[in-house]
Amino acid sequence: MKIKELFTAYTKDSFRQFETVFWAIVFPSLFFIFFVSIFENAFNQENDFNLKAGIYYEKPLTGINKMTFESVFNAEGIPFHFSEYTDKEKGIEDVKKKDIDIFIVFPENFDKLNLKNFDRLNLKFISDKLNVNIDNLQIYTNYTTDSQYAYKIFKSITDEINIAIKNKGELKENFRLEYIGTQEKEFRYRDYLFPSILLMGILTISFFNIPIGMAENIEKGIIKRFSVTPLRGSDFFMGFMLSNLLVVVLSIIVLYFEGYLLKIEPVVYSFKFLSFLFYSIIVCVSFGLLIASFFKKINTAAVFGQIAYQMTIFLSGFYFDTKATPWIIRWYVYFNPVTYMVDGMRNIINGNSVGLQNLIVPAIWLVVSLTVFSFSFKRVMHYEK
Amino acid sequence: MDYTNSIEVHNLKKYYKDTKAVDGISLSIEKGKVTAILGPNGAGKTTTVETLEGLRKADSGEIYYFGEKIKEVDEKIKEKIGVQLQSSTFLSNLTVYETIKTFAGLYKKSLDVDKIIIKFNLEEKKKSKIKNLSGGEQQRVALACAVINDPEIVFLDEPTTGLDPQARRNLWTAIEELKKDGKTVVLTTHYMEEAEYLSDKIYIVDHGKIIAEGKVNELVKTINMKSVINFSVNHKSEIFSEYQKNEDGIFKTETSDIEKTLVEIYEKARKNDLTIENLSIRNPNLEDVFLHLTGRKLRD
Repeated sequence: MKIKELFTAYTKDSFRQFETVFWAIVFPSLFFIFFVSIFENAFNQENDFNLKAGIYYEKPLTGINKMTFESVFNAEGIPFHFSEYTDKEKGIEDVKKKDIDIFIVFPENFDKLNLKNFDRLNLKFISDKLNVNIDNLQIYTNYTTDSQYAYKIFKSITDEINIAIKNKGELKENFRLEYIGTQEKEFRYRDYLFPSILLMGILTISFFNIPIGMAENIEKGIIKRFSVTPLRGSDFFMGFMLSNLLVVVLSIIVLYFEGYLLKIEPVVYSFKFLSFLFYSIIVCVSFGLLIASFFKKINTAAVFGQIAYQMTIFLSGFYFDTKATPWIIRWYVYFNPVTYMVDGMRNIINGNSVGLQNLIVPAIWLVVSLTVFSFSFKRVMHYEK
Repeated sequence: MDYTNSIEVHNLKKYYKDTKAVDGISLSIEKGKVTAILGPNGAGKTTTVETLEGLRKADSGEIYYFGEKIKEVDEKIKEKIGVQLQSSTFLSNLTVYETIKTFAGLYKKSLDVDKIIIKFNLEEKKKSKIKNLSGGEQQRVALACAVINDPEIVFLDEPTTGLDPQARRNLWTAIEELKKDGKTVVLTTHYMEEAEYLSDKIYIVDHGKIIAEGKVNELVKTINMKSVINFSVNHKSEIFSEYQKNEDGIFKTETSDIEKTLVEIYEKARKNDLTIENLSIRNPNLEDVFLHLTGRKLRD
């Protein structure tokens, strides 16, 4: 009954504070949308890489030449969109206007070439004037980056053709193809980010709401006031903590809803993932209690909470891989239990099992935090004895 | 159990390193009366009452609640006491109603929240958030929370400190209501007029010790000090040459019989067709008692 009264009071007080609602619930969900929109597109840009190439045959190709180049132009994975021109001048004009990135002219006598001599082709950029003569194949580019890429890629294609033609008949396909290891799922930044954002919401409560709230209760004399009522310390603690846990749960629900709309990997709804998430909540909340044990003033709790929050988030692999960081920082990364929590969640999302270290390191922090807090809390709740 | 004194304290001591915050205080808090503990800041008033409230543990001494000696202030006692702390606030985003209701939920027995709100004149502020209340309104909420469990004893630790005169007067009225309801009130204050106005018995505390105790008039009598009458006249002031006169033309006389002296002054004025102006009477008070006992003023 007393716990219910306090839970209700603290919950109302929390939800009437703009900071609580914004930082714990609104901000992580906005952050998730922004990061997915920005960075997922960046990751996917490679797949959308599409260069426009124009082809002009002064005389249509035949025989092996035709087969070879048609197979190249229609091959999957080639980052070119080829279009055939019937007017050479139009093609050159389109390169100038940057409507296409590269214009390839197959000269009239090209069909007569022995493909084995293909590597001797003299490929030159056109510079100021687009009338540079090319012995056989003529390639027109402009000065844009895409155009330069287009030239380099086309050049590498012709090199590949040369090698293939030269070695034709000399190599036997006498090997056996075998796949080993587990097949990696397609990388999606939203799946990579989702555990981080979940932990971000939880850590906001544990690094700010809990220690600052506790300091506020001490500094403003609220705990002292409750101490002269028949309220037990444990009742106060439960009421206070349950209201904070409610904020955590709401933050997670909002993020899950967002994740559902963004079609997050369905394994996040599995019992395994949810269990690990619950475990992470308990560990993160214990950090808040650990901070509350040392900082009894609102200002100091806020400053330390901010520093610890930033260090914990940035040095745990939330947004980028921390394996390449300098060794001093890497030690903090290894020391940081959030590293293991975010890693554990990502393991589950990638279909791997949670490592022992993902459970043990956070568990050590959990035990230490709760032990330190239990001594500190006894002192706080008994006000002065 | 029958008892006359709701609380009795014998030789209470509480030391902090070299500071003797409470140094052998003994008190008897009479049931149904207002007992004031008066003293300057740092005299040991708050330490004494916080020990009685269970917030601090005494180094030595005996405490009796409702006639029974206690080792500590347990939940059973806390059900029967109400406390208004010197400086405490509540969850600032809760309304007045929600705050009082929260406290009501902490006790086995509580009064009707709406009735308490009416009693302490908080109806208009019922839905206001705590953070939007004035100092006086916050103190009234604190008092409402202190009595929501219908306590037998109410501790009020400097309840009017920092309030404007009107808010202070309103709170005095509320405290008088408690007295009418038969509550035992323990009031600490450094305002002597507050102690004089509200209390049945006063303990004057200084340097952790009780230096005087009794009813106001008893304490004043002990210093054997006369009342002082000041006045001026419209003209012919030489008629009153027997009295001391200052640079501003104000006459001053000390007397132990105010009525007799006033009759003399007015009779003389009537006979000489004079008008008495700016008459004031200053009776000896607790400030004088404190000055007499310690050689310094209460608020020094």
